[in-house]
Amino acid sequence: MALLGIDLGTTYSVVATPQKLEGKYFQNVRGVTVIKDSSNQRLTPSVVALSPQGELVVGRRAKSLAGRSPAPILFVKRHMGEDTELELGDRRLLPEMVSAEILRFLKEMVEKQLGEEVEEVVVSVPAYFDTGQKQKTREAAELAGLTVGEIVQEPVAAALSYCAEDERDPLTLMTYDLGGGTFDVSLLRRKEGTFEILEFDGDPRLGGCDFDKRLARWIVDRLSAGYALDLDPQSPEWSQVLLWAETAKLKLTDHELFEIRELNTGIVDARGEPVSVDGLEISRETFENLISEDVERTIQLCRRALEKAELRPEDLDEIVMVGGSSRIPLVSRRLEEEFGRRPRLADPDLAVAVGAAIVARSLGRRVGPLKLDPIPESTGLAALQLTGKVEPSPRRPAVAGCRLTLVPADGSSTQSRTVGDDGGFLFQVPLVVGADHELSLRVETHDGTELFTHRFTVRRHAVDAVPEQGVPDVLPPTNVLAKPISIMTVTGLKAVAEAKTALPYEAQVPARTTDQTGEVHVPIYEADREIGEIVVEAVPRDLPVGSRVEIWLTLRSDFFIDGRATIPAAGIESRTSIRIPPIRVKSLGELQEEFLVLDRRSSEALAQADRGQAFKIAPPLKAALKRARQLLYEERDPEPAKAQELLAEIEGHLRQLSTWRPDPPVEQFEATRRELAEELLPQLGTGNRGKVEHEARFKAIVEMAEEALEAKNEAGWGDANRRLDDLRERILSTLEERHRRASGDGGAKQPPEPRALKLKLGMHLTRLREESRRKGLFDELAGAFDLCAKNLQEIDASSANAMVPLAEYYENHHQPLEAKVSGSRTSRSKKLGWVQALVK
Amino acid sequence: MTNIWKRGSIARNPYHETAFKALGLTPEVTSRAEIASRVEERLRAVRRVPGFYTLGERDLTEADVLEARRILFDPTRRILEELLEHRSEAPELEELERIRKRLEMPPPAPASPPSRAFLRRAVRKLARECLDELPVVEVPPYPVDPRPIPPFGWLEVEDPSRE
Repeated sequence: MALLGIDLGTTYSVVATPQKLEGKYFQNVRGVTVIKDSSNQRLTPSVVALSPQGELVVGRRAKSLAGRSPAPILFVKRHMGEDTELELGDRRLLPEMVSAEILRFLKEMVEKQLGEEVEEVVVSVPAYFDTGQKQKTREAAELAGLTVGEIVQEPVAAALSYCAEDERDPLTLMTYDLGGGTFDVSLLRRKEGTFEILEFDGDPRLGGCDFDKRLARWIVDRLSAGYALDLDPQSPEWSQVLLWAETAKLKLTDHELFEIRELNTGIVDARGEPVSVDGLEISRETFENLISEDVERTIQLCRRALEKAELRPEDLDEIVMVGGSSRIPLVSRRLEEEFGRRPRLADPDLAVAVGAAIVARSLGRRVGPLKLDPIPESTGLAALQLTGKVEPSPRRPAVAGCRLTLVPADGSSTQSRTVGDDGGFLFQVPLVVGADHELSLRVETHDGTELFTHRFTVRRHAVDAVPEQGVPDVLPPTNVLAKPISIMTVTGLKAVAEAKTALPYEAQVPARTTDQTGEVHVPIYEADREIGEIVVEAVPRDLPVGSRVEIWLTLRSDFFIDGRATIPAAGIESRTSIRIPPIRVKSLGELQEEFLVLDRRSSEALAQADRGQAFKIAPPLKAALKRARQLLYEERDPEPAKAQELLAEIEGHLRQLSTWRPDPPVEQFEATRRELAEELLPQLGTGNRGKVEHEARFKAIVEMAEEALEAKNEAGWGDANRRLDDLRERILSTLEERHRRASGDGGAKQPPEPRALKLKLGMHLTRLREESRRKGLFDELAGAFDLCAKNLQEIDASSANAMVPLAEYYENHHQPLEAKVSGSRTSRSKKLGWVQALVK
Repeated sequence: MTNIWKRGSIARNPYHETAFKALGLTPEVTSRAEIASRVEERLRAVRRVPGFYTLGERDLTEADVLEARRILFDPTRRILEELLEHRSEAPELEELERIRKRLEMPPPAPASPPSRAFLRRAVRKLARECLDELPVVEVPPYPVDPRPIPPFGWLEVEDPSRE
């Protein structure tokens, strides 16, 4: 039974095992063994095709079918996590199904070379693969009949491979991984034998295949001078041109000039003329010009990763280049120019598979009926922890009741365990410094029949002794989030788990209700993309706004998300398990339409944003707009998924730029605050206990509003304004009551005092504003409301003839607005009958 | 910065659920390699035998172990976590043991039976020495039992008016 590390690449895949093997099909690299295919090649093309006999073929044979119909499926990794169906003749295959075919081919190839079954695998993915893409990769492996022990990030695997030979500690490393279809940059640090991922970044849609496409288009353009060529990117002819481009790219790595000579291409142009390529010269300079923009983007992503990690280029001890495309001389030249250090090319094709095999060492191994977790030959710890499980077998499907006995060779302190349904067990054995501890683990069935005995020796070394040269003691957690997970609240996204968080991860988020709609929705986002939602239904409609909601999220190591939300005041709970949906790739037309809207919004937002924000956001926003425009309008075979990601990036920049507009406006809040402070509260008189309470409440509300305004907390701002209005109404009622009492029973018939009238009109205006919002009329009447508020505010209620402007205001502004909102004079306006009477 | 003493759920005792408790380490352990090795061990234990380790009142989970790793590898969070832990008291216990043994040593036999005043002076002297030799203890941030601890609790308090 073999453990494997698999680099499932966009253009090529590689397999390695932690075992040390000798033979024709094996190559030892940094302590592990790379397994070659039957053609004695280490790299297997990640290509799936349909043979003339109609069967699926993978690898070198599939690649040789390029140019024939149907066109083979290339670069499937670029579609991982999408809902796109890939066509292969009359078959429609989802990306994970195509990847499963590649993995199945690799599994069979390895089992043939090793002569044993594959037990468990570690599969590599780009660092910037999102959770859904990782989930699909795991699914593909399972479809291929593989058990996935770990998913490891490609640059992490590459760094582990590099560090197997570089023993420096501490060591800060930048891994530049420019593969066939993806680009990743990763910053790692080794310190005291442990690894930490400091930062990573990347573009899952930038790699060598983009260079091939650019070169292929250049070739077609040159050929178009003599032929009527308009190749469909899905056609077999196009895949043949791509192969020429790939060959040229590889040759131009070592040579300044390359010439394509294909006299019998088998391609026929639109006029029916056979296409012949007779000495088409490509210089390295031409090629570098074609790809320079893409290479610059990788440099920009490296800079961004360094910034995020708060590192300077001089803090790096090494820049390690992996991935076949990093062989292109322009790449190393630009890296050296940018970061002042000559990068090191380290087994660019094999490093990821080698690193994955190093991680596979930490997986449990099958020993007889046992799955035993790795037992170190030497340890610095005071006790050995021995863990594993008894595996079921066809003869013994139930393992519950099996008994394990751990016996030291000297016969002292024997320990026994009886396992449960899952077969798991754990022993702890104290170790003496400098001593070799010989141990045997005996397995018996529940009736005492001995099944198996495993003998092993462990030595405890002194703490400061180095146990094993060249291999890091402790690997970093490999299941880490590439993008942050957040929940959407009324104030925007609230992060639950940051990028780089190792899984599984549990988080609790306290929240509050913001409305009384009878439901609470908690949308969950991965970066800018909504991936699911927790919904709490049947929430009592009378539950006060601001009631506590507790949200729990568990991000599982298999990339599912368990969500739970409870509302303690209502005794309601809702649970959900979120499986991240595939990305729906929009059509080119939809994307172009979206782009135009985003382009317009970007110009507006940049014009309105404050200078600091615009200075920060404008460069990446403009760069993303430029790339999207090129992709959507200039490319012959635009990749819609790539364009869609760019549009999501633009959307993210715009979200950062968008300015929050407080509702109700700050002017309205200020008017109410001033009225309370300068007019209403002083009227309550001194020494009044009620006044003291009202003043304290007023102060607290103002503080709350100021905090909400500063934090751009929409819910808090609305709440503070509501409280302030309530307070004003309460004080006004008190004042009216006092006025009524002071003037006897006839007080109600007296005309109101101008200052009280002004306040009453202001309050009524607020109510009208709320009513207009409920009726969906606010947007239309916003200008009229602002005008009313302004006019009312300008009236000096303390002047002798204040009633006149108040009456004019009411007739010319207030009443017409009220009529628009209510449709007719409502009962509310009847309450203000005294104003009407006054006007008449 | 997080206020670690902020009142949280009454169902959870933060002192019982620290990163140190999750990994079974004391605050004296600072070696990254030792912490990382313990993390690996605990992860395996939790995967193979769920419920073997507990944290507070519940089973330790993989998420707890990984969170403990994050905390202990982050200098700021580690310091805050140390505030929820008591330093190992082993050296102080050794000191008390030494004093206890000294108290148990029989005083040199006097030629004649000692007077009560002599005994009182001897005990006072010894008590003062004990006090001097006790390690300096900082005031703990929690209520303590104000009653005297042995051996003072064993002494009868004499009434001076009797003499």
